[in-house]
Amino acid sequence: MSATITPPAAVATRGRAPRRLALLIALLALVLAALGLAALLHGTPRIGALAELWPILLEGDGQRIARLVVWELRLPRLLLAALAGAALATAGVLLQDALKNPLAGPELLGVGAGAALVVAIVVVFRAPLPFALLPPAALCGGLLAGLVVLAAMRRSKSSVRLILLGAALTALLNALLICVISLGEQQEVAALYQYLLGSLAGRDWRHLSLAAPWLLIGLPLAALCARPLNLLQLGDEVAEGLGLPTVRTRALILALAATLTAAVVAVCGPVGFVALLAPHLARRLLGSGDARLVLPAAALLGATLLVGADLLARLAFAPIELPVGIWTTALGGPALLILLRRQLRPGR
Amino acid sequence: MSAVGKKGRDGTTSSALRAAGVRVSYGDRTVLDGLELDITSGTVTAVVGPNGSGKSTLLKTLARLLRSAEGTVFLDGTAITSLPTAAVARRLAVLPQGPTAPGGLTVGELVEQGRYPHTGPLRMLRMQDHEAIRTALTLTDMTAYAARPLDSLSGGERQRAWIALALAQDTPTLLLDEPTTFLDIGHQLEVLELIRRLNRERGLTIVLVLHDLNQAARYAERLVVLDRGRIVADGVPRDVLTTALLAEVFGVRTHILADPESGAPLCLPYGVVGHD
Ligand SMILES: Nc1ncnc2c1ncn2[C@@H]1O[C@H](COP(=O)(O)OP(=O)(O)O)[C@@H](O)[C@H]1O
Ligand SMILES: [Mg+2]
Repeated sequence: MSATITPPAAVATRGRAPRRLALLIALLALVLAALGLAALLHGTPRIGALAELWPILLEGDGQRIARLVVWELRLPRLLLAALAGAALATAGVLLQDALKNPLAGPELLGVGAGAALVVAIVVVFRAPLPFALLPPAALCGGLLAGLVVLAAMRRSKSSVRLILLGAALTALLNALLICVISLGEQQEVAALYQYLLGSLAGRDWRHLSLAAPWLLIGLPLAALCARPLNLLQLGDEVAEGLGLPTVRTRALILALAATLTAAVVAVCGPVGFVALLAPHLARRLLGSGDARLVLPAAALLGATLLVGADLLARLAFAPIELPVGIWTTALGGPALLILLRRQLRPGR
Repeated sequence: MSAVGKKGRDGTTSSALRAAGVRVSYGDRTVLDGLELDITSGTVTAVVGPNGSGKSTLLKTLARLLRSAEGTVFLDGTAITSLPTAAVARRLAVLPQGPTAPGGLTVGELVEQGRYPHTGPLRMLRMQDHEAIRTALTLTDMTAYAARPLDSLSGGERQRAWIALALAQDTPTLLLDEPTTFLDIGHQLEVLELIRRLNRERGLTIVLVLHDLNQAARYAERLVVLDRGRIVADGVPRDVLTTALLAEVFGVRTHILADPESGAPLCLPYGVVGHD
């Protein structure tokens, strides 16, 4: 092998990506903290200074109104936004890598459509369900739809067939959803719309405590998927040859993604583009597709994006609030186009 | 050194891989039917045959990437279907035809994945894993490329990186599907020399699919000729490569000489049978 010209000796095997991850995490933590503080301070009533916020947060002191607004409205909403963003981004990484498709998203698992269908049925047919039980019902609907889609996928081995199957079943659920909506009256449809666009408005501790257990268990489990995801990216034959039971592993990973997504959409509705955008952004910033690095980076990015978008939703046109789903879609779509423009350019 | 493995250390031959009455189908199209093949430990076997004759299917079946509808594949005497996926991967490495890697993946990151079946539930790399990765990179002469992305390499370098992945698995048996296709002649010979070295110095059992009959005859001690899913010839190259067989299987008119350097049969194709 003397004919090959060897470049200057380099023994490192992983390039600069791990160092970039450390940098990225530090940076995002700062941004997230700043956005979080802004979210706690701004709004009506506005809290003028950090000096006023600390007593409220730490000692439960301060003005009664301010205390109530921070503790009962802004803090749970902030935590939910961060957790939901992290969960959606993680689900996005799981799906994109497991299906080897850069455009795969949680909507393929029918989870969002299933949750929406339950909400629509309850609202339109005026099911005798207390308002507080709507999110748990939506969670059940989402999980059930995910289960049906995954069961249908059970026999397929190829990613392409899995994606087609998921897209077809989701389209079916969406068609049902539209049927139900078309039966509704204007007032009900308007209320449904708020949910279908994805919103964090008015979400409190009850919503958070419904979603949080699923997410706090699901996110660490996702970290265990990193090595298998790296193998799956090499193709099923290579992965199987390296000792990964590909069919079973992929099913488990998709089930995890469905669970994370279901917990989010049950309380926030389908918030668009975070699951798609955060993984791509993470890969680009890291310069690597290594799932061990992309998973934490994307989760933190997702949290930052959704907290930032929700801040925009609350403050941009105050006192009117546009659902956060509109913001993530309006800003996420173009951002994704810019990110993917290299792949989209003809001749590649 | 060269005798190690050929006969096993105690002088007996043992079977590394055996296909017994294997039938494999894609949907209702049966490709292999009742196939019998026994691969002796420490040997190099080349599988040759026309396009679509079932070479890749055979290799994938031996590696359990495809399940046989009937019959059994035995790995070191154990039915391969009774073994966990990771246990198979610790004994047998397989490089499928034309693998692809995600963009940006470096050679080192790729080769590191070869340790997957050896690592514990937390998948941390230990001393012996790093050692195996280093050895695999050294054997394939890829150490200097470890930090380079695969998509920045030439075809030959990339193929060596994939072979390094299989070597990092550190298995006694190695299956390679067309490891020399798309390489120029220099790189083809590099890969074949590496295979010979792995067999002679490390006693690896190697089964590889090759297109070049002369290279197969020179580097393998056994040729298995597949035609439409059946083994039509099997044995030492000198017995297998005959004018009649090449006319029947490949449809070419040939002359067969003895290679002046190695004595292996050398076939010179002249034309397509029936098109003179
Ligand atoms: N995934 C598949 N689905 C259906 N048919 C296949 C598939 N793979 C291979 N075949 C068919 O099986 C036969 C043998 O293919 P293969 O083993 O790839 O041949 P070779 O490697 O010798 O060129 C061919 O006729 C091919 O068309
Ligand atoms: Mg082939």
